[in-house]
Amino acid sequence: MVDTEITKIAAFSESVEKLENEFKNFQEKFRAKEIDMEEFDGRKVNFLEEIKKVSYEIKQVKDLLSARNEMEQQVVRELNLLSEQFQTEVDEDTGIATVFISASLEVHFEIDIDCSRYPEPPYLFIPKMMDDFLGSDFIINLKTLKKWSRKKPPHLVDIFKELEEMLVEFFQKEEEVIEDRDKLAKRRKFIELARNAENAGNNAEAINLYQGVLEISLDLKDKASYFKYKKILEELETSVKGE
Amino acid sequence: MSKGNEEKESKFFELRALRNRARKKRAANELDEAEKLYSQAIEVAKELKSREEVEKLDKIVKIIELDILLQRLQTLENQLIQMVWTE
Repeated sequence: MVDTEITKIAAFSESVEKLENEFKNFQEKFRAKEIDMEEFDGRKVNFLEEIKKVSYEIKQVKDLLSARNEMEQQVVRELNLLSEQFQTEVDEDTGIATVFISASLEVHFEIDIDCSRYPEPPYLFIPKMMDDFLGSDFIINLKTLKKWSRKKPPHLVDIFKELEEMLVEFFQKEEEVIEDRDKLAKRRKFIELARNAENAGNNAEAINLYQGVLEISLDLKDKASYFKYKKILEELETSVKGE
Repeated sequence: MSKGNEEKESKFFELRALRNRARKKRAANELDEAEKLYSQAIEVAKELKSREEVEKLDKIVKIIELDILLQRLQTLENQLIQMVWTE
């Protein structure tokens, strides 16, 4: 079978080369106006017919080679399922795909997966940036891979659903931490300004600033600071009223 | 991990990386480059004594060879169609 295919491909290659050479010759004669219209039309039609014939034969052999066994069909089914739920670039012949995952509006990852041996567990090419964020061993801790069973394998899409969930959660937390960090910095600045205003006797401004401190503390769900600065604010308000 | 296993592991990684690069070249229609990379992958698969993998990759190389021939025929056809008789 393999020898036959090799022989056929070699024969096709010869046919294509022959056609190319003949075409070159035809083209030269055409440019030099060495052929008349009748010969031109006849040869053009013959060439097109010959090209169609060789192409058809090549496609037939290609179809035979592309026929998939049950295991390969299973891989294709899994890849199709994956494509339905994620943006992917799939190569059905090799069983390798690239899956695009968005962890946030700004952070996106490309993960290559080799599932050519499915129902064996797939191999994932994890981008280094993802390793840096989640730690190098996060992949072996994915539940879907950890509990992989060759007899009853999960769908490939389950791996990516779990991975996406993990990434979204991670980057959401990251964003919250960054947001909180900004709020903490703002509160520190308010406290500093409020103390300066208080020392300078500008109580109205100090009250305004302490109110800002309270708002941020509430936002951060920081009860201890909220009560601490509420007390300071109340004392300041009482002293203003007494003046 | 023993040295033998480490070597095998690194060969597997090389094989997968080659297949992956080849796939991307094929998707970008750089068929000659893809064929070269798949042929390199076949050599690595042979070193790993993975008959199944060799057969699979060999099949892909053949399909690519046929695709290259089909492309050449398509080019010929396009050139022919563009040729128009003028007095």
